[in-house]
Amino acid sequence: MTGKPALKLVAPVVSGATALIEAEKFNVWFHDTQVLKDIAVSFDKGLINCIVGPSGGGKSTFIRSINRINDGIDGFVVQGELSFKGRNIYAAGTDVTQIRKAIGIVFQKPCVFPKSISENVLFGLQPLRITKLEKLCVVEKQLKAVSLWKEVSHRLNDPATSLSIGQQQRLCIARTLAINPEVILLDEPTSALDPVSTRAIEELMLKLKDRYTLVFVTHNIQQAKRIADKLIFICEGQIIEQGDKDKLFNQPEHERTRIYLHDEYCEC
Amino acid sequence: MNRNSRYAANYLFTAVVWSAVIICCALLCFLLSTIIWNGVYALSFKFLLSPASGFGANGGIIYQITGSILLIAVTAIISLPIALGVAIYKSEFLKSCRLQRLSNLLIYGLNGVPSVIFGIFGLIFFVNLLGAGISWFAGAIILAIMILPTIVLSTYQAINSIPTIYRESAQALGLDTWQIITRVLLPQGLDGAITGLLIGLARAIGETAPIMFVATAFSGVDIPDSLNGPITTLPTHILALAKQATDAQALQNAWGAGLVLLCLVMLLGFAALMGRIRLKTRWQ
Ligand SMILES: Nc1ncnc2c1ncn2[C@@H]1O[C@H](COP(=O)(O)OP(=O)(O)OP(=O)(O)O)[C@@H](O)[C@H]1O
Ligand SMILES: [Mg+2]
Repeated sequence: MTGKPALKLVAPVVSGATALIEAEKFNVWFHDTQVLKDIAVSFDKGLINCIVGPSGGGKSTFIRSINRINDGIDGFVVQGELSFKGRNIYAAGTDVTQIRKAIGIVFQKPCVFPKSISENVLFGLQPLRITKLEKLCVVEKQLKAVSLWKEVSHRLNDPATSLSIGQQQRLCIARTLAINPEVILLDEPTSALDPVSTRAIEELMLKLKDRYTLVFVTHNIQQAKRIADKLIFICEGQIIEQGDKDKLFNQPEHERTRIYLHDEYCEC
Repeated sequence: MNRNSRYAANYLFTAVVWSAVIICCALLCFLLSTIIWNGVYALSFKFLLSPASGFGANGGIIYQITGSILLIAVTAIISLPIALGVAIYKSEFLKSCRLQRLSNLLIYGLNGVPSVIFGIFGLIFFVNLLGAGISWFAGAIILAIMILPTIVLSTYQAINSIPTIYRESAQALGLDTWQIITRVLLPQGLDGAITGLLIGLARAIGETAPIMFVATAFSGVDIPDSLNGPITTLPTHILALAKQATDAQALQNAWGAGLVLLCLVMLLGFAALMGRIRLKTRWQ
């Protein structure tokens, strides 16, 4: 089962006309275990969409489903609607590499390739289709975008593994920016980092949010408070509540949301 | 068990292990020292650089050295790409558990086939069935098949040890399967492949049985000028010389050829070891 083709005509949505990604009754199973249940959410442009929730709730599964990284996992089954620009991501005949180029993802643990710093930035590009000069431009532009340029400009040919973990994570973001995506998914990108690097990434998110649609998963509620615009609370595979950050923090509709956001504790 | 008997068992076990180690080392030292001791007297530039004459009793072993090196070089050229293909297919495309097990069975099975069977197979297939006559190239093909499992397993291991997150990171950047193979898996698998290749070649260079019916002749052979025709190698030369063991000169030349062969094997083994060490340090 790979979901039905996008039959739904995209009617102009009145309020959220800028939503790039929309899920509607979206379900995921790993073998017989249902991991996501009836997910309905939309991610708007120009906002930091922040997904929070307890461990094992399905946050990673959800954002990995958006750019089809879960495809390779044995027993992965989807059902329902998940669309990017009005077209079902799981429709038959979809060019998966195209989806992945338009929707980049950054994982929890930075993962640089055992190559030089600049080769890592260029890793997603076609090496034969761009000139040396263009390569230099891309490297400089993207490293500046993630505020790494000052730190590494004098050693672009050093192995990327020689960077600190926080720098590696920013390099991973630069690598994703280089393929020019429209959406960037970030799965707990700061959980392996120290407070200073975390701060750097948070500032980076605030800087990038005008140009990209950002979906940010975090465990850290203080972090969500600092950077989120829209907050989505996922627990046990279901969206319990979503909406404006201030509303969820100050007047949550559900008791569970209040308990989770204030006491960082979930009784679902 | 009381305390004393536990101590006794402990001592006994330690003693058994240590004596096994000592026996192994002693045997190895004995073998190496015998070959070196006897072989050194035969070695000279003249011996290394002149052709054999009088069925090897006189002259040197230049064409045996070139023959062995040519044979394993061509073996390497044939087996490496095939092994890379098989290993990538096995790790990336063979998803079903049952086929995985079947492929393991085939690979380990091929690895366990005695080398003389390869020789007989070569004789039947190339000489009798295809009518190729004696051909050193056929010998290289047989050796390539023989060492294929070693290379496949070592490459597969290297590719399989790449953490999933590297694949996923490459996928996330929009690379397709082919790009992931060429830009992530092959660079990593190549180290393993080279290691496996060197181990395989170290074995292949010392073999007589698989090639003696199809590829080699014992005398009057120089460097082949086409794919057909015989070749002469160090191990087959040693075999021929050993048959004339009553001739002191022939025997000494046999020791000399043995020492040269041993050096070549150790060279390949050493290179493989270095490859292993590099492989270990690459991905954390
Ligand atoms: N590859 C897999 N195969 C089977 N089940 C999986 C797989 N990956 C995740 N799951 C299951 O899916 C559920 C959701 O996992 P997921 O990783 O999405 O949670 P999460 O919200 O990201 O948790 P965390 O905050 O700890 O990262 C868990 O119950 C997990 O066991
Ligand atoms: Mg997770």
